[in-house]
Amino acid sequence: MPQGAPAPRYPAHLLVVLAAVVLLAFSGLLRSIQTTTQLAATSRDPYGVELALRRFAPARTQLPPGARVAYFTDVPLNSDAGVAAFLATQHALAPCLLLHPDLTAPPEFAIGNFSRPQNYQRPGYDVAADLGNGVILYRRVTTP
Amino acid sequence: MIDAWPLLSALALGGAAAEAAIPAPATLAPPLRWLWRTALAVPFALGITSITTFALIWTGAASPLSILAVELALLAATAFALHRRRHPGSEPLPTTTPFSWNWALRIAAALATLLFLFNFQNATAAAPYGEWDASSIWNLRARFLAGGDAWRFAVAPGLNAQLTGASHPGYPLLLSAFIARGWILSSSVSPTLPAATALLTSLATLLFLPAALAWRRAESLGLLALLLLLASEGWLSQTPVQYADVPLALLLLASTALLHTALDSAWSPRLALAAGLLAGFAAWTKNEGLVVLLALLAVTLLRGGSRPFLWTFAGALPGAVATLLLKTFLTQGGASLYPSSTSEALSMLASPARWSEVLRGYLDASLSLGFPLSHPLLLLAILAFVLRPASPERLRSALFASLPALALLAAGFTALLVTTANQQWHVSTAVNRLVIQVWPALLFTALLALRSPEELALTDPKSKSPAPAAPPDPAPPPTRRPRPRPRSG
Repeated sequence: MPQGAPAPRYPAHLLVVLAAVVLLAFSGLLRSIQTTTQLAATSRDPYGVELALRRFAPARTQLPPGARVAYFTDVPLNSDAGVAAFLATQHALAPCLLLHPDLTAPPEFAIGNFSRPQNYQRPGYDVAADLGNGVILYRRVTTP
Repeated sequence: MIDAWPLLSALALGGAAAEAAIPAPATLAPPLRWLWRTALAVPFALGITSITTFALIWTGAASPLSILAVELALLAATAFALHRRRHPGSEPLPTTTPFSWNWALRIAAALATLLFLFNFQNATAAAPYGEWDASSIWNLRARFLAGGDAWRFAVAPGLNAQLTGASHPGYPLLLSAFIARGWILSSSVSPTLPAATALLTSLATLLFLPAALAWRRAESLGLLALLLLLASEGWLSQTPVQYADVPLALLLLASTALLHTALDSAWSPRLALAAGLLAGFAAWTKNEGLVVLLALLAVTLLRGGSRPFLWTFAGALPGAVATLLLKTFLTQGGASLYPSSTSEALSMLASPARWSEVLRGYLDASLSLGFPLSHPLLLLAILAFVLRPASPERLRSALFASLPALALLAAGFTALLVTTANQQWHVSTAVNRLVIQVWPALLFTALLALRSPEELALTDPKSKSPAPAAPPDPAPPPTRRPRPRPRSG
């Protein structure tokens, strides 16, 4: 603006509408914050990743980095809960690669992720360690 | 603090590269120039460091030392280019007398940004590992990439375990490789790094949008755009989830802004190269980015001719080649979600029910972009009503600049029509993301198509009628400042 020139003026309706837009934008933002706060209060660790990292921490130290690991569970893998549990376990054990037991030749190691106590034996594998919280480490049966 | 220095070193390289490619416009006020530099450092940092890190991982040479050595060499080369540059500024546009209520808009924008930070912190505290796709795709692949010899699992078909929709070993790697770089450099797999990356990309979008609009039109429009973006619950809720959609949206926004500049000016090689580079990085971020790149190239060829096209194409090479190599040589197998024959595709296209499902998905996603009374589309319509459309020339350049974003929406629509996955599931999981990816860029182009509050200043203080619609850019109205001389030397 040139020095000494009067400040520009604007139509009143423009200023009113812009103020309304700003206020409405803030109302939307505040409502989003309210939604986030409610979700945060009711749903911590929604996909069980933190829990899986805690449960599988002992197994991770016993598996060689980058190992292929078969996955045994009592939660069906064709259910939402089964998929979520598989992916949380995969995240916790990476860089080991979890394999669907039906899809591949049995690797050296397997991990069990069980929702309740049961007979943990699985064909072709020995239980190498019961690591608690439904986490079982298996090793393939060695043929003589 | 362990995670801060890998991010800061990436930003240093990204900032230098951005400044070398597209210097902060001389017409911007110093605070906006700072916003511009900070914001553009992020997409350049993401793109450059993710590609160099992945190249080192692939060749088996990745280590903290090798990553730093390569980046230092690039930083030195960039600094040399900056030093030698003779024309540091882009051609500046004429500016209008600033809107005298900009101070109020600045306060509102600053307050809204603080509220955004509070919201981000709140969401991240509840889900520090992000949402579903973060732990099952993006951060999981980063863990493999940072896991030494296990990096190949990031692109292995076994990763999918036949759980369709999970893991996606064929997805491009910008986000995962950037996070893996930080983990390799800090020798720790900390969850704060993906969260900090999500914050960086979100903040960069929030900073770049007002800076780019201030450059192309007026600061007031930029500040209003920031407020509208923060009123967009759909975008806001995606910022802390640690997916690749917000980074892709940032890259699309930045390449759109550069495309618009090129459309309005003389297609400088520097602009075309930088727009291509960012669009190439978009292709390296998600498959959708490939559509953005192709659309950008098409617009460049149609509107600029062969020379700008070649510059844009050259700029796109790093991201495009990285994506092509990944998909050609590394990604094996993977479930296809699309028909294997033309007849199958045609029968899907002929089904009204499938059209209805996708249309409903787009409508739902648009509605869920905001809350009813403060919906950003409603706010945009109100602004359009009071500000009125700009001149036909401006409308045309805004329309052409929006073509990459519109092409992405159209490509997504077609892909969802012919998906072989459960269509309802595919629509419900994909359309929201598409809308988030294009929203900042479309908001930018929509506001470009309007007159700014500056242009509605009353010509005579006693008159109640605003100035007539602004003429096209080359003919500045009387209230405008004389065109500043480009800096030289």
